Amino acid sequence: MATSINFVRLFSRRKSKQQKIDQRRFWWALLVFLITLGVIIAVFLVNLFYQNQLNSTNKEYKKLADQWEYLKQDELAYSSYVNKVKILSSLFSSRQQKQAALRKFRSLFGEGASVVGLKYSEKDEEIVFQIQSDSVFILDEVLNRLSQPDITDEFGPVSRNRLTRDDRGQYVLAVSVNLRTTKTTMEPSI
Amino acid sequence: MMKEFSFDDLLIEIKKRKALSLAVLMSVLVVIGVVTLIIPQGQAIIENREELAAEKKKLTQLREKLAQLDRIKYDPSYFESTEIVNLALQDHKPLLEFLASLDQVTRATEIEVTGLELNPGALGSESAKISSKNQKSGVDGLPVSFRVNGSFEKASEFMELLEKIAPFTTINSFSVSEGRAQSRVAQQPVEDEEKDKVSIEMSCQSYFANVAAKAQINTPVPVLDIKDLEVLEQLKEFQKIELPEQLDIQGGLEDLFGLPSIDEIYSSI
Repeated sequence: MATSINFVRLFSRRKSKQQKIDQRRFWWALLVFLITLGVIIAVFLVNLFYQNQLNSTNKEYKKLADQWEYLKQDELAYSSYVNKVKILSSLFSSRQQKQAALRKFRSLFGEGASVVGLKYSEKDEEIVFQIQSDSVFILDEVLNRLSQPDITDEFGPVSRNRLTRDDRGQYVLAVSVNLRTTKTTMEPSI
Repeated sequence: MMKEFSFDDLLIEIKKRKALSLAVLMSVLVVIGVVTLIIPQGQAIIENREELAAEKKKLTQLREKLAQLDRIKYDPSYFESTEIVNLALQDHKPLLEFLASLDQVTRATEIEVTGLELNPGALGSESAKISSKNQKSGVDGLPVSFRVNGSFEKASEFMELLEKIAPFTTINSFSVSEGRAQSRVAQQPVEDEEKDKVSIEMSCQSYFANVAAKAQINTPVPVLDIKDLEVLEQLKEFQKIELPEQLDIQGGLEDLFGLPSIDEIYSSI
């Protein structure tokens, strides 16, 4: 009796194994393909969203820019006004120390002593006062007053430059106030 | 010897292994999709996102700017002080305005002003508006020097008032000499009032703005700080100039060159 020999059994077994692997590869590839397709669609949509946003933002910006064009003259006038105020502010502060020193020294001394001479130079930042005292006692009071803390704190040490005595017994003391050492925390004034 | 793998063999292999062929095809498509679509679109998204953020920022700034400009319309302090600010710091050399203000102060303090010297330069030219020297700071000055004669008290008052006039004027230097009468003290006695007389050499600067304001869409509207508001309060004390206006035109045109009038010419024909 003849026995049947299957010559393709090994081949068909190998083939079916190969097909299974191919099938598995196909499914994986399909999965990756679908994910990629999804990503492509998502990326397109996101880009479309941003472009829409950008377009609407640009449109709104253009609309507001047109509004601004109408108000440009107002802004120019206001900017000019603010610039001027800022310039005035810096000019005010630059002369503030001088004015404070002048005001303080004019009303600093009592009876018998008065400011008879003044010299100021913006370049040197210094004011020189000539204070006349009717007697040596008043001169002593003047000297004491100049050493008081309220003066030295505000204006720094006041330099005594020269002392003269005239025929009538009046003393003239020249003192200088350096505005560089003057504290800038003084009240703003004109 | 190895068998040569031909295109026909490839077709046979594709037919035989359809699943693998499709998998390879999809893999190739995925690679093409990533390279040609996802990467460029991703880059476009990043660029659009950055651009959108920048545009939104600009839009917000512009909205704020418009809101600010809208608020300015209803800002009473702006309207109240515009006139005095423009008078205090004018856009041209304030020669006439300074002279008018000086005259006002002189009258108010009953002081004598002599030896007025000023160097206005070219008044109508461009150099009058913009000087390269001070262009950066946005301000320029008209230097003036003069001598003041009067009592010490009045002279002090004069100096105080001079720094309260519009156009904004600052005394740069002064020197008080002993005065006409006081210098004679040693030789002869004088009246108290005469003795108080002083003479002050003074140089000052009257300021004016030399830079025109600019408005750009992407720059914010400048704002005033507390210090500036204090300055506005101080400016209220400033004296406004009252420039005399010529209302009457005298002379007429009848005898401009000593010629007879038209009516006379016609009547003589």
